[in-house]
Amino acid sequence: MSSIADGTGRVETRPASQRRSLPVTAKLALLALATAVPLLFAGDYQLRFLAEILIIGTAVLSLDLLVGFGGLVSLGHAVFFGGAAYAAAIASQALGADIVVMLAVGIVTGMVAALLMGIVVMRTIALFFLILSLIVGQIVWEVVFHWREVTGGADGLRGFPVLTLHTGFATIPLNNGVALYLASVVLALAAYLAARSFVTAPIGRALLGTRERQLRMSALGYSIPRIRLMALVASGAIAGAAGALYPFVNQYVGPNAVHWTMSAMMIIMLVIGGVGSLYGAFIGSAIYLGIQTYVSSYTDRWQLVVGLVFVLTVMIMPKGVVAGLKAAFGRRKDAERRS
Amino acid sequence: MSANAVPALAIEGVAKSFGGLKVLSDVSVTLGQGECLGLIGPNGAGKTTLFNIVTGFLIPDHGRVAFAGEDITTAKPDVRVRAGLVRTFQKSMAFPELSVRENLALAARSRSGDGYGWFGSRKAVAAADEAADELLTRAQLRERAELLVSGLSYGEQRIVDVLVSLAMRPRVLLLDEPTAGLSRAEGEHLIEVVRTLGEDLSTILIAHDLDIVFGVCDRVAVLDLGRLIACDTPDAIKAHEGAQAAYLGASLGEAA
Repeated sequence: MSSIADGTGRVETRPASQRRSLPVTAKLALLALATAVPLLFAGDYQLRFLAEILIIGTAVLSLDLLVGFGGLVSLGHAVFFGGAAYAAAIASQALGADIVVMLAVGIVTGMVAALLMGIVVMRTIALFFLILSLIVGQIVWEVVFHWREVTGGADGLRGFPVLTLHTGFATIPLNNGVALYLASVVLALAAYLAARSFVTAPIGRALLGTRERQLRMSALGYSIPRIRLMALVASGAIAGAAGALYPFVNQYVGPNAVHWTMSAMMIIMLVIGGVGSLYGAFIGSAIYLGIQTYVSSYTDRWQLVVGLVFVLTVMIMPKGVVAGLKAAFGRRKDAERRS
Repeated sequence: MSANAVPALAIEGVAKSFGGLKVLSDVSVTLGQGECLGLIGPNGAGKTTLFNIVTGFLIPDHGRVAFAGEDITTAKPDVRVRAGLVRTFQKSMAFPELSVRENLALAARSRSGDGYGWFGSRKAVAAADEAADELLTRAQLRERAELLVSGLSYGEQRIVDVLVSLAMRPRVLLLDEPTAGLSRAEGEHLIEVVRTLGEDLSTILIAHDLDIVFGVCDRVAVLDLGRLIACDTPDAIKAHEGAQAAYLGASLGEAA
């Protein structure tokens, strides 16, 4: 019996045979095709842009674990992502930029940051969780902003060594759009599978239980702080992995990466893409960054467009753009069938 | 229950006040192994507060609570639950957005210590699903396993709620008005499910439906204004004047 998450963090527990679903080989082929198409048509700049979408999307995906499945809206999530980005950027100056080492540094940084934040926030929920995570996040921002010798202060850091992949017999430099794009695809895919396994595993179900009925979960012998802490650390690990690659794609990391507005941006992306759907994180990231990049070349008021999209999503498609469009098309098909 | 057997649950001289309000004063009652004890009394008598003290959601000001001979007065709720002291709540507390099977499996995994697994939990998940399906089959709800609880009728939701508790394999089960809002037939069915599925189970049942309480319980305890005014067999309680007086609205003698 397999289970998959849908738009509301629910899990489908029908046997696979009863679901309309593609076989695994077809899914893999589609995925390979979707990955390959940009390689044929996109230039170096666009591929780097796609890499950024995937990396930010991975960070948003990790936020979805907390928001969509734990009901925990965090305004400090940028700390896991941006903290890992700084850690990787700083470590690369001393250790070189081997991608495996960078990912390890990022993941550990994200987990430690999540653990520390978790100790502060794990007993709270709703508004208190929001405010406490905001405060912890802003403390980190203050440190990053003022610790010039290490973080570059307001200027941030730039000029990193080339990201490399050691394969045993050759060292591949990941310094062009194609390589960075492919690395981001692998990161996003691995993160998605990890997140999906989390939400379908007992711990993910328990997290969903705390979102629905906290009191009942205690009465079933679950420790709610423990569940929240585990979710935070898992989320921090994924956000940290994404953060580790960010400086090398963006070629810059600044204090904005840990600022609360970065966390807020991730929440907006998540809402646009669909809370509790996991994949929606990437859709939301693509829409937001697409507007930011392409609309801003016409007008400085691109945030107005983001705001409009956000408001329309919340009003018309509260489960996110993908679920909303699916429902709209589903209705039309139903209507056609009836007529 | 023989005189020297260790009771499943012993409540000794328990008192609790909220501010100046005495909710319970000097309540002592024991629950024998395998016994079903009814707990009745008017609203505000302290029945649920007593449950909260027994399950660790509240700590009493005085007195002690012993579970199978062990003092648990200050033990944390999750510790008591895993030891087999399980409760239900007045409102249905099944998880509405989870499937019926998943509701039971959540409890089964907590019981087996697999509640926090991530990678490599396939076996634990399968075992919990199996345990859930077995309980559902025995409760004749197997065909409901895949439905979300929010899609069930209220009566079925209450039964799922009780099944979730039974999936914890409790030794003592505290049922807080499980039949409230149910029809007589639904209520009797629910009690029947508990009696047939709970093996070696000792229960305390809070219910306003006196027919059910007097029909299924071995003994009945009557609480009034935080005091235990009687604890005896159903027949003796029906004849008890103090109990009659306390239960203003209902006439105990007529309930049969």
